[in-house]
Amino acid sequence: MTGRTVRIEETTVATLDGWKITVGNVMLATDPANPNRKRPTAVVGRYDAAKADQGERDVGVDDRLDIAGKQWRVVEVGLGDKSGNGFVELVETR
Amino acid sequence: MAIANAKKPEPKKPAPLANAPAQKAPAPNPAQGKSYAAGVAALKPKPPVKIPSPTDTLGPAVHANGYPEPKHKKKKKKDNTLGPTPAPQQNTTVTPAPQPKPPTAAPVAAKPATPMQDPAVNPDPTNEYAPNAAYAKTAGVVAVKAEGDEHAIDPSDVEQGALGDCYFVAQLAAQAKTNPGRIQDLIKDNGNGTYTVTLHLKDKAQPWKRVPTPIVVDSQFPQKDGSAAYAKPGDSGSTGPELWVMLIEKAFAKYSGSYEQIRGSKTKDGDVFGMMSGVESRSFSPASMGADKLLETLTKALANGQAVSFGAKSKTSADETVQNEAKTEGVVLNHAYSLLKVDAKARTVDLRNPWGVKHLTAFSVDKLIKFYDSVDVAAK
Repeated sequence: MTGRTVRIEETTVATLDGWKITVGNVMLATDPANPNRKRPTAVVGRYDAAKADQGERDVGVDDRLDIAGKQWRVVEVGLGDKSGNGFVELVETR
Repeated sequence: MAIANAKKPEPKKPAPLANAPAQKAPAPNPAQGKSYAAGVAALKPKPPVKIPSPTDTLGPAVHANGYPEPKHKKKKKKDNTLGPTPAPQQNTTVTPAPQPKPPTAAPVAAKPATPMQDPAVNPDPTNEYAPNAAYAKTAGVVAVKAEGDEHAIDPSDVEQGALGDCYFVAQLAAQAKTNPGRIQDLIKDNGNGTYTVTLHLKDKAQPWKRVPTPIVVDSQFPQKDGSAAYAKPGDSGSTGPELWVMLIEKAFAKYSGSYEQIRGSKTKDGDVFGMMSGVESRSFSPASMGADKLLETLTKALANGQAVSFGAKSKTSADETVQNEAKTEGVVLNHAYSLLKVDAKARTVDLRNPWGVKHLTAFSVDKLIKFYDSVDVAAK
């Protein structure tokens, strides 16, 4: 099934197809494609159904993640307000 | 017969009759017939009168010296929890004497007095990040002692979900580490699919006081895409998964009006230790004391059975350099952690992430001061 969207709040854990997806440390960081530019990024953790670490990624918009055999694309990384949490929004691509 | 060391003076016994014959049955004379036999039977020594012990409930206790003892009052079970006496608990050890029950008609279910007492009243299951969460039943038990658990209520039972209530679940896990009995005492299984969770919540008229507040919830929990949306079920038992974390989270959400209202950014009461004990916890900044003093404070707290949680720096209090370093160290900013262990010799601590993953083991006390800006210590 494609087209699913999920928005995950910073410091929380979503469950996608049995995998735990964590989001933390949303912040402005140097864009690897352009060292003169900063972009919002987030640290996304992926843990499979047995809670085995499937690798953490520091992601920004358009980065892709494999989750439980499906591919998801980062469509937005929100910094949040000054005191609140940011978020990451993912859309399933295949 | 006198009692050795009796405190009361001995009663005067009637003086034996002088020359009273011994009570002895005369030798039977078959020639005297039935009336004689009846007479002999009347003279047979009677069985001794049973003196009830003080614990008999059928009558007043009687001392061996013959004086009746005043009826003992039942001892009230001492309430060891801090604060006002909580609601009656399920596992009371005081058992009244069985009394014959008169036949009664089938009991009529009493109407709940308030919404908090009505298990049919559920908090709004949605939140900003789980707008489609909907209730579904999860049959289970309050707690399960699984392999690796120190107690049935164990920090490893805590797994946060898609709700920004890390402050809440981190303090539950910290309390589960130091005093699981305190959590066990909060929850009563009503035996009909509902549970009474008693939280010590701020009195509306006098918010500096906490009042034990029983909140009745059922075992329906918000789900998203087929699994629990927020706090997860714990260990699996023979009759289902353990629910204590989900039950307490739901009770607080019910009291607050919705799950959305217990997000960290919206909650009106962040002192979960206080909710569990009835006494406000103590908060301070790790940087307010040096590393040595901090280590000593944490060591003492754990030794005293006091739960401790930490709040990582927020993005407003951490500059870009600290934010980048936190990322490298695996510290999740804006997040809460539970203290599991202090190694005073190595000057490190073990911090548990309420996610259930990405914990910080052997984390130096210097880094604790660098990346955390609050410590909460529960009352004893």
